Amino acid sequence: MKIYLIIAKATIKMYFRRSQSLFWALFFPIVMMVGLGFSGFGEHKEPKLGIVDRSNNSVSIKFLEELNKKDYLEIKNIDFKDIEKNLIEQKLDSVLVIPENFGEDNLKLKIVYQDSKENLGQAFKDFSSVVLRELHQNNSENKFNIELEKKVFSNENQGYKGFLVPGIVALSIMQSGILGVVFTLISFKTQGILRRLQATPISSRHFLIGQLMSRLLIILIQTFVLFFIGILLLNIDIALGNIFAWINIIIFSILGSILFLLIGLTISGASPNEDYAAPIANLVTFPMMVLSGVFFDASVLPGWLNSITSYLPLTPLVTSLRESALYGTNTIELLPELLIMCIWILLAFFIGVKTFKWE
Amino acid sequence: MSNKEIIQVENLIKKYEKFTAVNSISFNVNEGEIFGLLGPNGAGKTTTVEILEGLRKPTSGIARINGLDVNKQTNEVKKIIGVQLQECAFFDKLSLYEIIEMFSILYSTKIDVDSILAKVGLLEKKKSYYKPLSGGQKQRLSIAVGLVNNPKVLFLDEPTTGLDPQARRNMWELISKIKEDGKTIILTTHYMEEAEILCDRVAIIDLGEIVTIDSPKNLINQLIDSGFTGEKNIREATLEDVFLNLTGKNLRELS
Repeated sequence: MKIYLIIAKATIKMYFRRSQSLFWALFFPIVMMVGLGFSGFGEHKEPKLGIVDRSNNSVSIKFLEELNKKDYLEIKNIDFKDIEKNLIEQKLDSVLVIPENFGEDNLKLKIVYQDSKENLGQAFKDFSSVVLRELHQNNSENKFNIELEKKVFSNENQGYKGFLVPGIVALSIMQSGILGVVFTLISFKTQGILRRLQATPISSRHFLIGQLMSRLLIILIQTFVLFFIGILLLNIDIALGNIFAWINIIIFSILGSILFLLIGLTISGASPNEDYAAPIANLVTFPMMVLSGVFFDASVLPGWLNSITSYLPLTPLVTSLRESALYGTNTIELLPELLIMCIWILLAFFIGVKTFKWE
Repeated sequence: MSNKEIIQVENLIKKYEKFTAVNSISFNVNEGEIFGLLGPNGAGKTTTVEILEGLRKPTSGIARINGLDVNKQTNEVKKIIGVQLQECAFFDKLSLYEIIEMFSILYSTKIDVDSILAKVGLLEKKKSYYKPLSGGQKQRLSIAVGLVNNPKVLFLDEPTTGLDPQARRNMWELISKIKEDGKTIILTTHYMEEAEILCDRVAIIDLGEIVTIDSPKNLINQLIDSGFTGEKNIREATLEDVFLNLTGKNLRELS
C-alpha cells in the first residue's frame, strides 16, 4: 500500500509541476466551453415549429399546407404527448396546437413555447395569424383567436451551453485518459525508466496501478472543476440540484476515466515509441471527438453512421453525463450506456494485458 | 580482499530467435572486488549483466548471487543488488531528493537520503530536477539510486560512456570509494585504461564467449611474455594528459 501511495504521490507531483498539464486539462476545455457556449454555435438558424393537428380536417390541412410553403420555417408533426419533451430537449422552438373542433367557425389556435424563447413564440403567433387571415379573409374578426402558452422548465436558459458543457467534460475525460497516459508512459518507456523500475523488487505492475489510480483521481478533480466552471461562467444548471444525478455523474466519470486510462495504457503498452503511439492515439480520439455528440447532437448524422457511433467508447459517456446533468436521468435509464462502457473496459483490459511490452 | 565467491555463473546461454547473444559463459566474482566485463559492442556484456540483474531470463545455465539463484529467486536477488543501467533516465519534475526517497520505498528500506546524495557529491543539488543535470551528475544520481538498498553487489553498465575526462576521473574516484565500503562491483566498459585502473580482474568477452579472465596486470604481462612488441611508441604523456594538464582535473558542471 505504501508503494502505491509513494507512486501516486510522485505521479501527482509530476503532473502538477508540468505546466502543460493544466493547460490541456483545464484551460483548453474552458476556452472551448466559453467560446462555443457564447458563440451561439449550434443554435439552429431556422426556427423550428412543431405541429399537433387534433382536427385533421380540410380547414386544418389547408392551413398547414400554407404554412409549409414558407421555407424559412422548419415544420415537424409531433404527438400531443411529446410537446414538452421536444421543447425541453430544444428540438423545437415552439409547438402549434390545432384543437379538435378547428373549422370555419372556430379558428382558434394555441402556441406553446419555452419560457426562454418568448420572442419566437410571439413571432409564430403573429405569423400564424397572418396566414390564417389570408385564408379566411371573409370571416368575422371574433372567430380568430391565437392563444400563447408559456412553459417554464427547470433547465430553462441552458440552451446550447447546457448541451455543450457535459460534452466537453466527457471529451476532457477521454483526452486526459488517453493522451495523458500515452505520452507519460511512452516517455518512461523510451527513457528506460520502466526498465529501471523492473530492476527493483516491486513489480512494474504496481507502478502501473499506482499511476492509474493517481490519474483517476486527477481526472475526477478535472471533471468537477470543469462542471463548476460551467456553472459559474456559463450560468448553467447541472443536475437540477438532484443528488442522484450527481451520483450518476460520479459513477459515469469514474467508469469513463477507467475506460480511457485502459485504452491509453493499451496504446502505450503496444507501441515501442512515440512515432507509433502518437498517430494511434490521434486515430482513436479524433473520430470520437467529431462523431460522439460532443459538440452537436449525433442524431444529425446519417442513420447508419449514428448507429455505429453510438457504440464508440465516448458516446455512452457523453450521453450519460448529458442526461444526468440536464435532466437528472436515473441510473436505471442509463443502463445501456453503462453496459457499453463496461464491455469496452473489459475489452481494453484484455487487449492491454495481452499486448503490453515493457521495452 | 577475501576470496569468498559472491557471484557464480555456470554455462550461461542466452539465445534469441536467430542469434546467440551469450554462449555458455562461466565465471566467478569474489566478494569485494571490482570485476570488469570488457568487450566490443554487441559482445554480450550487457545481456550477461541484465541476466544477473534479473531483467532477462537465460535460455539455460545457472547464475547465483550470494547463494541465490538469479532465475528462481529473482526478487530476493533484486533486494541485495544495486543497478545502474545503460541509457536509463529518471523521472523529470521530481527533485533528486524525491527520486531517491521514492526508490528507497520501492526497495522497502529507510535511508538517509542526504547522506546518499552527499556520497555521490550531489547534496547541493538535492532540490534540482533530473533534466538540467550534467551527464556526469546524471550518472552519479543513477549510482546513488543503485545504493539506496545498501546492496552487496553493484552493477555498473558503462558508467563513464559519454563523459568528459574530468567527469570520468571523478567517476573513477567514486567507484573506488564504493569499493572501499566493501561492496562488490561488476563494471562493463569500453575503456581499457579505466579497466586497468579500477578492476581487480577482468573478463574479456567477444561474440558471446569469454576469451580470457585474469587481473589486468597478469594479462599485460602474459602478452609481453609471449613476445608482443606492439607499437613501440612509448611516450611520457598522452593527449589526455595534455588535455587535463591544460584544463585541470576539476569537474566542469553547470551549477
